[in-house]
Amino acid sequence: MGKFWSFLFGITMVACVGLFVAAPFVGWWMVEPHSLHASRVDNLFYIILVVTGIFFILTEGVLVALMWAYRGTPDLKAGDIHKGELPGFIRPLANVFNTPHKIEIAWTLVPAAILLYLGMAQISTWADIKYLSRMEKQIKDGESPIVCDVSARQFEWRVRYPNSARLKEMQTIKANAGKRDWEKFSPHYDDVHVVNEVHAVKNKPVLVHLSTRDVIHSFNLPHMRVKQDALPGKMIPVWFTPISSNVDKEGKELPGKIWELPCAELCGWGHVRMVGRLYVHETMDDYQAWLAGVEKQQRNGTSPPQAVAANQ
Amino acid sequence: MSVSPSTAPAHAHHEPGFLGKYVFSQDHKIIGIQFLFTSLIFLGIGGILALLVRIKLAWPMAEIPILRDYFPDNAGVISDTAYNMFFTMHATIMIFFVIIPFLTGAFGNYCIPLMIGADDMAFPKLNMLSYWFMWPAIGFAVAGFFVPGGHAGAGWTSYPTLASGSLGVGQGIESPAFPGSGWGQFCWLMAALLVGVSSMMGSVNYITTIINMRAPGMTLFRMPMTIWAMFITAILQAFALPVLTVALVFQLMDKTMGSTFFLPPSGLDFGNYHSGPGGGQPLLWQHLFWFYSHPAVYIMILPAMGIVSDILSTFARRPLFGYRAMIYSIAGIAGLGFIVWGHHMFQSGMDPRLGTGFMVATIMIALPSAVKTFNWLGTLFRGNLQFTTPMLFSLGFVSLFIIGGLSGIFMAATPVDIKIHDTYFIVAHIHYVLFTSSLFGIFAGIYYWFPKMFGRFMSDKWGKVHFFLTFVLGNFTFFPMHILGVAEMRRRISTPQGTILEGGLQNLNIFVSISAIALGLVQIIFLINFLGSIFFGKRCTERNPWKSNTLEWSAPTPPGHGNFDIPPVVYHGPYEYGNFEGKADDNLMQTEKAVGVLPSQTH
Ligand code: HEM
Ligand SMILES: [Cu+2]
Ligand SMILES: [Cu+2]
Repeated sequence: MGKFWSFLFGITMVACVGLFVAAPFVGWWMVEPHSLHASRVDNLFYIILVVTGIFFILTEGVLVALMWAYRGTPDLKAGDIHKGELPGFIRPLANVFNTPHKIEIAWTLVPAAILLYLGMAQISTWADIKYLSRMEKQIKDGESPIVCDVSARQFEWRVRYPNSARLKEMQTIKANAGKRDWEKFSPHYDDVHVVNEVHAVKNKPVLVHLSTRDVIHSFNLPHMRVKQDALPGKMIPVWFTPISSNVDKEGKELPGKIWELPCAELCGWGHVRMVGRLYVHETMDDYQAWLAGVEKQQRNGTSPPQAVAANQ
Repeated sequence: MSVSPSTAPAHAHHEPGFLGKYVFSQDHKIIGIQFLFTSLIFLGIGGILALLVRIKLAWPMAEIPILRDYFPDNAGVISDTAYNMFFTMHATIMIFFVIIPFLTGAFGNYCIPLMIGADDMAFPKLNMLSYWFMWPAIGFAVAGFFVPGGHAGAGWTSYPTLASGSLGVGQGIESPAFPGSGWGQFCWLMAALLVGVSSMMGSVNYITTIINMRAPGMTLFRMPMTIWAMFITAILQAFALPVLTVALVFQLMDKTMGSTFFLPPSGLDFGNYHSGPGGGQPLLWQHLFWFYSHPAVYIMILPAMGIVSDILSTFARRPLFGYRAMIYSIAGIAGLGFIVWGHHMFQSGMDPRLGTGFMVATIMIALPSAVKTFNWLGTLFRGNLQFTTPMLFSLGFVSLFIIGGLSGIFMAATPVDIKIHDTYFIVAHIHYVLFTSSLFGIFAGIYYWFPKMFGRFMSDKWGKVHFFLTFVLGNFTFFPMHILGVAEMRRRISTPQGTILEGGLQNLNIFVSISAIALGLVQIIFLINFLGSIFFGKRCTERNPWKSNTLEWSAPTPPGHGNFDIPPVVYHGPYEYGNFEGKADDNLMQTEKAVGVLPSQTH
């Protein structure tokens, strides 16, 4: 029976590795990365995948080999040392168990070093994505980010933008030291309001002022590798820089380029339906054209269709 | 049955009656078995809830005939509200009413006195009370399903402000999780609170018993791994539980008395309703909750690790490799376990610089887990492996715990966690460590100690069938969840949508659900084997059927009141398997004097 069980374990582990290897090829894999930091996140994922993959194959391999080699045999008298029939390639690996003290030190220190490396490797990426002090680095001089204010509620994202005039003003503000309005972006009577839509421009940093007025929600842009909970009573800054666009001149999504903005934290019975969209425009002009369109609708009292739908 | 004074035997007052013996028993073995049965029943209930969850995920629009009576408005379709309720209560029941009572309640109670050579726990009455405090908890957990508005639906983590009260003083206990869910949440809080009281009484008892009541010669470093694990688990529980209790009381007060521990100064708005200002922070709950619940995940794995270590050594007929290293790893896991709670909060709005610190601590906690894995492998080397059912579940534990430990590293890495936090990757991780590890350890323990408990064996053949199917279907059910998570399937959603529906990923969901249903059905084999063997199993008359070394096997089978007929004296550690001169067997019980060099010293 021992052979059967080692075979079962072996097959299972091969299948596990197989699924991970095959999945990307059949499209069962992560969505494409489209922001400045997204591929850095993905690279870290792959580094860990490779390290843990090697570790997985090693340990499971040794386990299966040991199960195979030392399966009990009826002719083995109690207390006899099992000769074992380890396959050749695994013998040097398994022989490490013969020198308990050395090997114990080795298998503590080597994984410790690898783990410490894995930990350290994360820090700079994490800092660049989440430390407020690093955000400024992404913003070139004389430019201000695209600012918006996202206020979450059960079960939608309400988004507020500066109108075109104020946007222009903000673009120059970075030069006027000390008066960086985009850091606060307090409400204005002429702000532009949309629901469940976040708009951005290719290669331009976006700064989201994230808040919620009822329960915890999580602002999640899979294609941007962004996820941040919104906390009641707090305003949390979130930023990212998209590096490709997904809409045409008219602001319509290109085929196959629907970029969702789901809520990732359980927020009640409508959590599943709390999904917005991200629109990344090719140029600043496209963005301004879209903004002007919404402004006009708002002034004429014809709300954008999405807002109407969301209120129903 | 009433016994009239004239016919009662003279010594009747020594023998407790039926109630005293089997119901309000103070005997640790009976209490252990009571915990065992209670947890088994809840394993069934939790399992059914899990299957409802999986049915909804695979076929979101299916009209289920038998549910038509319960969801008349929906023609038998599971609603989003009901779905939230199901996964919340699935997790709550599995964690608080299955895994923890199984490991600490059932095995802790049954094994600790027997394995250290004591006649009972230090505080038998407290022990009984610890079991009976489970019942009010169970009462609340079950009552929640029948209160107006249904059970809690804010996840087993019950984050405010979704879970906590939102209305001002005197305006009721509504929760925003879904309309009318306030009473369910109240029941949830009371249930968790009472389970905590029960666990606390247990852990005080375990710590005292292990420190004070060991048999002569049973030094700390001669204790079996099961006992070491129980000991450290009990300490973990004693230190971490008060924090959860405080958090639960805070939320109860927010809910019923209008306090505002978790309500921010700006208050909350629901539609046109404004809650009024608060004086607290929702994030406080997460800190308190995870300060308990991260150690709690170790409470749910360490005893299983101990059990598996003992079983592996027994059936490999080899000394446990690196006994001391194993103990230090457990202690290391427990110690580090107190400074990693923030890894559940990387994306929560906690200062990201704290996240960096928590990340490094969390990644390092994988080290003691790795060391333990290597030691288990080392134990098999040059063994003479007996593939009995408990051994198979233990080997399954080792092989699948590796998966759960490794997936932990992905989520511990903060930038990668941005991607996989709150996706099915987490769900895969949870189930590899809790189902295919903790529960495998529990199954191993049941098959292993069953002869001692009931004086009969469970069927080995059906045990193997059970293992084979559980191992295969367990992997079918939980491994694809990693892929679903990488492909951005959010957790806690009732209906897969978005990217999941493209590219055929929903087929993977259907595959997972079918496997899960099969996995659930397979457990019926176990149930029949378990219940049937109590009455019809092959009799076990020997004291030591597995030729093991630890003290419980030197007691009569099943042990009577007071456990040992011959008071045990311990001469050496529990892992002496090998060749002994002048001895036909390859084991040396802890009560047997050694002749010559011990196997654990030669390797
Ligand atoms: C190698 C060791 C481990 C590491 C590095 C690790 C790491 C993590 C991390 C970072 C998370 C949070 C993921 C997120 O929400 O984004 C997590 C979640 C979780 N872990 Fe582990 N883990 C380990 C072992 C375990 C063990 C042994 C158990 C239980 C027996 C466990 C049970 C859980 C549970 C239940 C959750 C999910 C909690 C929830 O959000 O509902 N983990 N783990
Ligand atoms: Cu949500
Ligand atoms: Cu944790």
